[in-house]
Amino acid sequence: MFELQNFTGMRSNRENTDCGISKNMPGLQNPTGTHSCRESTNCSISKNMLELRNISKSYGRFQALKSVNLTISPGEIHGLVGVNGSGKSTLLNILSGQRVIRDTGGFKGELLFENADRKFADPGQALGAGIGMVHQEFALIPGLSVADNICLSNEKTFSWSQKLFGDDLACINHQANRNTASAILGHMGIDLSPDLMAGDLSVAMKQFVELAREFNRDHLKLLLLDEPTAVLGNRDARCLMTAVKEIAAKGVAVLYVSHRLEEVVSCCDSMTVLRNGAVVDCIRPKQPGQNQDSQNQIKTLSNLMVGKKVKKTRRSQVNQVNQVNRVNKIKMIRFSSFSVEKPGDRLDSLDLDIFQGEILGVTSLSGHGRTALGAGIMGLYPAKGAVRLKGQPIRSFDPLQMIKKNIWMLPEDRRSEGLLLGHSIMENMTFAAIQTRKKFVRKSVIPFVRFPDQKKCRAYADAAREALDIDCRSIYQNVGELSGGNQQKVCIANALAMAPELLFVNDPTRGIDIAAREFILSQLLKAQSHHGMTLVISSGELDELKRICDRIAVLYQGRLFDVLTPDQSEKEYLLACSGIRPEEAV
Amino acid sequence: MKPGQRVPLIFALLSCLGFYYSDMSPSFVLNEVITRFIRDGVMVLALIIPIRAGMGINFSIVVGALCAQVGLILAVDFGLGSLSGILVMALVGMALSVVAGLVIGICLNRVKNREMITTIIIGFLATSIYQLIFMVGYGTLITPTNPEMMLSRGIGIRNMVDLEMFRNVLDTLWLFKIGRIEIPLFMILMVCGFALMIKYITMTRLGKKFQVVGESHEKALALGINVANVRIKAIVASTLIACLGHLFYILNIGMLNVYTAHMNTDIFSCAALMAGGATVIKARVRHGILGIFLFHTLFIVSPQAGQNIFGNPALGEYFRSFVAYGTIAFALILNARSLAPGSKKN
Amino acid sequence: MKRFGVQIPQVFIIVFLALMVVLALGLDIPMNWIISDALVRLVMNGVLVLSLVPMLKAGIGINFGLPVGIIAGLLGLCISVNFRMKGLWGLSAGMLFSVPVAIVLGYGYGAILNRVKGKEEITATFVGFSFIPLMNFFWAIAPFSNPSMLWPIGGKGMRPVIGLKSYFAKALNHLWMVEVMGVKIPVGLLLFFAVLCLLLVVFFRTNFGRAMTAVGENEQFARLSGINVTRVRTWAIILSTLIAALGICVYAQSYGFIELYDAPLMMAFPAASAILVGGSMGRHTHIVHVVIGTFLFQTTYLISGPIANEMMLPEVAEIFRLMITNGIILYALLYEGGKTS
Repeated sequence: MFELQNFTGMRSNRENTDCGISKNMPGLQNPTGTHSCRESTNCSISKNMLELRNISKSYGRFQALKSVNLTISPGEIHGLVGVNGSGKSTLLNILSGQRVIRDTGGFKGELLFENADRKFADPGQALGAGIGMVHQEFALIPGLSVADNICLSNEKTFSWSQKLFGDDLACINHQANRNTASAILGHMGIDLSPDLMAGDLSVAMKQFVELAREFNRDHLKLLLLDEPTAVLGNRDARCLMTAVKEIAAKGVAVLYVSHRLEEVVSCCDSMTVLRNGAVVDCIRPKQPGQNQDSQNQIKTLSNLMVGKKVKKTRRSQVNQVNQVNRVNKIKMIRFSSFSVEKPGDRLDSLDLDIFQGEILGVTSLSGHGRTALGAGIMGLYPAKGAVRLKGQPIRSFDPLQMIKKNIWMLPEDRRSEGLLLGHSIMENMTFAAIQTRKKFVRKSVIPFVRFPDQKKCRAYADAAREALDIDCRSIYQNVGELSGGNQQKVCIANALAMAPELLFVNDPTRGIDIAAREFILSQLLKAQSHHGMTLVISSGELDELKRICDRIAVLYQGRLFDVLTPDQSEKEYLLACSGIRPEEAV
Repeated sequence: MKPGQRVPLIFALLSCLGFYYSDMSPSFVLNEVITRFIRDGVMVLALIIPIRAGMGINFSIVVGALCAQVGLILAVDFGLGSLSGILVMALVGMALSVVAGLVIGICLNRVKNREMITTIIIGFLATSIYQLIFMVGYGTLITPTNPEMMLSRGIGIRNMVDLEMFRNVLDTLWLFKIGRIEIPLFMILMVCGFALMIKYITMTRLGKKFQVVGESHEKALALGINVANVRIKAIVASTLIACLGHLFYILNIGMLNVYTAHMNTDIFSCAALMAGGATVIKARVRHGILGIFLFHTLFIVSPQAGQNIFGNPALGEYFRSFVAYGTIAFALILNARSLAPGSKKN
Repeated sequence: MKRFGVQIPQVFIIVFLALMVVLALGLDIPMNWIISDALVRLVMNGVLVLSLVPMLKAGIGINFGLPVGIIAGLLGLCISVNFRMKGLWGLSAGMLFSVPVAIVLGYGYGAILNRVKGKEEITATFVGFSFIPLMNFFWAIAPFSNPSMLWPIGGKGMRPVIGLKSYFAKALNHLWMVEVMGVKIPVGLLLFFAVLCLLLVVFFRTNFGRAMTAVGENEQFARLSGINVTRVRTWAIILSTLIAALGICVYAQSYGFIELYDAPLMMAFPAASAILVGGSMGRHTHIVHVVIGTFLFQTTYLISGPIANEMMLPEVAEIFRLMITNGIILYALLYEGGKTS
């Protein structure tokens, strides 16, 4: 059903019909295969569908985009690649007019769409201008049928009712909509009844319906695809790419965001690489989609995405310490076919052993399950499978049970899960220990009425403030007023008060500035070496994991893909994160 | 079995039991039910659109009812009778309810997820303002043209306003009898007309937008739908329909109890809708129609049944107010569970 | 903005109150009477308002289902009256009898509210509303034997209003009554209220009380810290119900009558309004809010009555009260909603 169609035939067809591409041909013939974007913009200003000039965007102090330039001409498929946090989603949000952008203070720079300077205040305006978007988290309405979804806000109506009552109150012609939907789905080569409810579809089908909805727009000019193939198998992915190429052939510009480099290389006419919010390079391959070249291109791309690394000294020291521990390999915890149903980040039948005293890193692209492990163990989401802690089976996953077994987790979202923002630093540091460990609790004669021992609490909080170098007015200050790094330190102090044997840490450095990051990592190392904790750190920051971990488990689509050592190269990690075996890649 | 089928079944069962013990004649019950259908039918239908738009039960349909009463009092005050009077009161009521609907809609856009409790409070507040105007304002700030309406002390309108000139204007149109059952065809057709109109709205582009907004605000926004605007439209429509519905109610009774006629219209309409199998997140026109029959049958027979079973008519009375409140409470409990984040499907 | 927003209802009610005090002085309504009555009304309603605190702190929202707790209290009082207990002992016995009832009802009520997370307020409202007719059933057939509680004719079913004059009316009001400069100060009553407030403050300092606050502030954090969130929420609801039961006991003795049947139907709204006037904003609720709010709110209630009577429009007072009650609740809803969206 999803046969790979003849790419070359279509491509020649496109080049004939579209002058934008041929105008750019001199740029494409650059022998090195790379070419600066800025230059090509100069040669075809009037032909560009979209042109971004010096787009910058910051969220508070964090700068997500730094003067990004990008051009897409009609009929061009432009790939956008970059690691997590490189600013891809922010760029898409700006283009599709998401409210987040306006609510956080808008963006700087010029967004030229069809040579007009635009600033979209809400998605409706972007849609009205002809910018369609296929969302990573589906924007399908589960309670509507496939036909209704595809025709949404572009419904066919009975003309008599339209004349009589106007646009809004025109009666929808279901039959016509069904026919439209069937036609579009048929054209995409998908065998799907338009009467099915969108909520009942498989993930892959939802992706196609989403695409079909955008195709159905009357005046689609620019299509934004956010990780369209992340949830698809290889055959479905190829089918989707074919459909995208077809729509591009009709003169629609496409911005294609994906982690799958081989896909980007095979499908895109040009590629922009983002790193830390800035455009690193813009590649326009000589002969798009040709096989002998694509391996080199993937390599170039992955190098560009990662950038050059500064060697940090800590790593070797760390490894020496850990080497000692790894000699006596006592199994701390063993997962067998452990699955967690965390929405948007599920983990699928994990088999993994974690040894006593080691630091295990867990990494994946976002949405591929790296944060689900700790959350599943703590019972925040339904989990199933067999887990043995030091040989003892764990039957129910529940925070209290885990705390009794000396397991603790630092959640990734500190503000919404890890802290009481309206309470003092002291209370946050001692809360869990008071509640579950009966630490810092005064002896009481009346049963059930126990009071925290303020003296002990203050002593602990002062000590922790000293040891963790928390920047605050006093330990009675509200945690909500602290910076992200200091908040994380409070979380760590809370965890240390619990003295767990096994500590799950999710994204410890998310949203924290560089200086505090190093400190937090060193504190985690200290926890491991001084208190003999076993740490499981899940993070998207490969570089950090490689510096402090003994082993790193890489997840792909919720499954354990491989367990790598910190010595392995960035590229191997990048490939593993994209679900590619080294032998396949070469 | 889905709650959409279970609840009506329970009501049917209770109604049958009540009917059996009440010893009422079927024709009497049927006549009463038809009358109730005309009186309360449109009011029940007014609740459907906000539920479809994901705003829950709109208890502020009371405000629509108040608008109708204002229109009516003004018409009586100016001594307009018959059809022209009905036209005037309908126009005044509708104009007021559009304004009121806009205000309520703007309020509700500030309180996403707490719409229902807010609409209840808005209903209470509107009642107080209304009472203040007609109990205190009339005779002090506003001078009535028709002094017969006033209380003897000169301030405030009488509790009861007789609608002599409007009585039987609409009810007797196309009235015919089958045996002992009276059928006011015109009014039945009017209510059915409203039902069809709402059905039609659900089939239009706007109706689709209501549904999309009802499913998810984020998705609706991502699809370029102006959520705030759609929600305001839903509330305006609901208030407008409620205003007309209440007009039917008063005209059918032929008497206006100035200070209490609007009370509990929200509760009873809502309970009727829920009895028909609607939920706080899902409502169709057929739930409304079925609900009116089921709920009001139970309502009519229960005092008599209470008398016959327990020898105390008050018990039947308590039973029916329990049914009214309890149905809504039950619907809320039932739905909140299916709405809980854990069971949310993506 | 936050400080400003909190103050709008307070500023409004203080201005309104000042206006009425001036009016009252102009109309020669005795000031010492107002003050002594205001003190009584503070406690009379204050305990009911206090009962909202545990649920607010636990993040469940305003307890619009207050009738559930009130009914528990009424049942306790009725049992006490049925045994013809008199004076303070009668009142204490009534409170004591209502404790188990409140715990049982609160547990059931809690089970319901725990199923409807996020929609507690509207559900609570209707649980309260529907509980009233259910209890009416019970009152109509209740097996009480004291004829002063039953319908005089037929001798079956409870009266809607039961006089407490020969039992424990004003028992607590008159305890240690002191008169200073013509102002009667009900020391015993005020002490009772103060002790109750203090107990609640102390409760929120215990480990369990802290857990409750934590659940209200950040449920996920509390869960991760090993707290059984459902259990804590249930206890918060039971506590609220229990205090509400005590509250109606104080209210009834002060009022001198037990009001059954539909009387508790709308009692939740003035209480909610009072705590909001005091400055409570969802989880950020303190006992001080209860005291200030109840005092301001009840004093306006108190003064508006005689003023309206003097002006020959007795209904106006009631309408104004309702308007203020609901206006304040609506304002709080809109203000809190505006912050999030």
